[in-house]
Amino acid sequence: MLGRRFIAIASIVAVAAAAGIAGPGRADGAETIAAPARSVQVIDGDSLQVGRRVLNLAGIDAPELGQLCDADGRAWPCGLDAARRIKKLLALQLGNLLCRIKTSDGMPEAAVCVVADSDLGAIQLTQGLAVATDDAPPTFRAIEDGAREAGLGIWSSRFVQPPSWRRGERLPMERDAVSTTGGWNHFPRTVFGVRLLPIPRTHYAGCVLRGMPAAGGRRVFLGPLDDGYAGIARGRANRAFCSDDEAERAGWLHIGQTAVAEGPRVPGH
Amino acid sequence: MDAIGLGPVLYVFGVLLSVLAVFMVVPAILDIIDGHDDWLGFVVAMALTLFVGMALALANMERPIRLGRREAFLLTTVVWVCFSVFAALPFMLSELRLSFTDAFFEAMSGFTTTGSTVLVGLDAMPRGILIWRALLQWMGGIGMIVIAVAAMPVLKVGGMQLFRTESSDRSDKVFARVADFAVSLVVVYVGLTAICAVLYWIGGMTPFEAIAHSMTTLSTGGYSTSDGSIGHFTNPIVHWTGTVFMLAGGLPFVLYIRAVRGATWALPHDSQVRALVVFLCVVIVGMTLWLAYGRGMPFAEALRLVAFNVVSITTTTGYATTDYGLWGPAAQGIFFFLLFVGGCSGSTAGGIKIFRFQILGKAAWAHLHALVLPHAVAHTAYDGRPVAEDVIRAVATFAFVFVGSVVALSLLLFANGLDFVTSLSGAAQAVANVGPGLGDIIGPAGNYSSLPDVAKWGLAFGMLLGRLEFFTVLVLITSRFWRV
Repeated sequence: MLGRRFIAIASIVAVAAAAGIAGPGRADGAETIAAPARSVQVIDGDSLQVGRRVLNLAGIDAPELGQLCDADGRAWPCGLDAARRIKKLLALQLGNLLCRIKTSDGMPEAAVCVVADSDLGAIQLTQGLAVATDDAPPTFRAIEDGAREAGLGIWSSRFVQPPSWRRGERLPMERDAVSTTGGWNHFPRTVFGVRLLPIPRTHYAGCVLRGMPAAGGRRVFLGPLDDGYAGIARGRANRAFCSDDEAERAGWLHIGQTAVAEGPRVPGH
Repeated sequence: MDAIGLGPVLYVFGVLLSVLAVFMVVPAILDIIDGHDDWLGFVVAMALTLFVGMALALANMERPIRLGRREAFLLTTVVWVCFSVFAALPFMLSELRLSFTDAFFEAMSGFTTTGSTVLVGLDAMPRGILIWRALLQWMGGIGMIVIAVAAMPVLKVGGMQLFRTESSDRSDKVFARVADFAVSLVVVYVGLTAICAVLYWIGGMTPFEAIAHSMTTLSTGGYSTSDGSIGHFTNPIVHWTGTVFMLAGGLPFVLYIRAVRGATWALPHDSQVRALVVFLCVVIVGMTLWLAYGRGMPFAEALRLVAFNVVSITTTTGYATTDYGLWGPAAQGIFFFLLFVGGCSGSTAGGIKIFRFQILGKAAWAHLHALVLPHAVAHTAYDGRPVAEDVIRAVATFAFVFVGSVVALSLLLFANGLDFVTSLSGAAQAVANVGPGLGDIIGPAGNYSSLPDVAKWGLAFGMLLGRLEFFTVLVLITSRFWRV
């Protein structure tokens, strides 16, 4: 706890160095955007939308939204939980989220995001809700080691590394059609046409992001944390994505990017 | 000694379990109204609970029901443990499909009015599960008041005999007229919950949110319907309502009953109440000035934030309106020690409790005097009455066991690889029945789902120990207790 400020500063410097981001003294390339923490939209466990910018938290990779972890035989929606935990964290902040982003034309952009002196990426790693990426700073690796040794979060379960998951690798548990309605599979569901038990819904290999056409010919995608997702999931979706990266690479925008005003920019901050 | 009468224990337990089953109707109906499939889980859990409860009650029905001291100890612990097992069923059978460890943790945290949760994504959860969590805390709160007023003074747990001798109106008579007391208590408890709910509703909550939160406010439990806890609601009316009614839940409920019956000034005249209010005022004013002038926060906002969060932790509620863990090391230190304080005896709050600090402080002062003047006769007085030596001894033992439990539980968490802040604050909050700890993992913005299962079982046991004031549980592991 006492070292959080140090970790936040150290991680900004380290990631900036690794990613070629200019330091505070150089105005070219370095850019910091700020937005009230509670206004930030959470896409998944390592992606945020700040203003109109979609940012990936630098140095970490969280399970994708539809990813399941095998917790002693129980299908745990670890990807969704990782995203919800970040959302909860931001919901209790009164100040601004500051994100130092890498100038890039491509999407998604990597950023070091800090709220009240705490690095969001480091917090996700501390809780065992993400893995450190290959280019992560040593402090992140140390935090990840601590979470792994304590068996926190995903480290107490079996899971596919997020990059492999995006390439299509799945746990046997994920490959099986997973009923979301519990252990009622051996009971009759309807008797004389009257439904007694819920009809099992299938966890369709984790591709839970939904794409749909939006006003102005744009194509937008929504995740389970976005308002209106339940409605779109029932009908209007015409495309499913397994990760936000996949959607963005295919040229789809996150739903809020077409509607939310851009946050104030603090160049060279 | 006679053998323990298991029959009456099982009979009363069976009746209470049947009552628990009946309460499962509420979430089931809500889920049916909402068209959510979780209603089935509640119905199955209810059927199972009702079957076991009725079977135990019918098989052990005998008159008259004799509950001695040992039977009371056994019944209290059995109720809290077994209720948590049955109350965990809906969490396992619902769409959450929690593991037994997580479901038991959530239920125990509810019944002990702790408020630590393994659930995240509350805002999108079906209303059945949300109201079930609120009901658990509400039932746990009133159950604790009954135990604290009717049983613990007689069982002499942790110096509670103080409230047996000091006023006949609060003790033996109350115990003898337990039915009369229970009716008055239910009226006061429901009345305060209703007023709180109306004020929350005026403050902008939906009727459902207002009812769920008023239940967990009065019971000083702290379960919310939103991941953002009370911070999800921005209207100051909600925050101040929460502050006032969390405090109301931390005051002795017997005094409300006396106030309603004509002793209007019973509350302000009580030394425990005065001490708690003065203590809270000092901490709130100090931290507000520090936040306002030291960190530049607007005064009114600082006062609202500090008052809410300090009262929340001190009364062992556990709501949050912001992540106070980010206010710096000084604030963290203060909030850590607030975990231990607790409310008044005979309230829904946990912790060491104010009267024990008063007794220990006075005893320490008397001891100091005795060192200076060895031949002087020093008496410790409380509320104008002398305090017997056995009370002081019981209170000191309680404090020792409280701290010892925190240390033991911390060591268990350390051994599982958790960091210093998480281990220590996690152990303290569990034993004091607070809810959130400190740090990134289990702080106000964190969650207990990340912890390994061993840690969750340890914390659940800590909650049980703290809620039942240690000795009610620990006495069961002594061989003398079971000897005929």
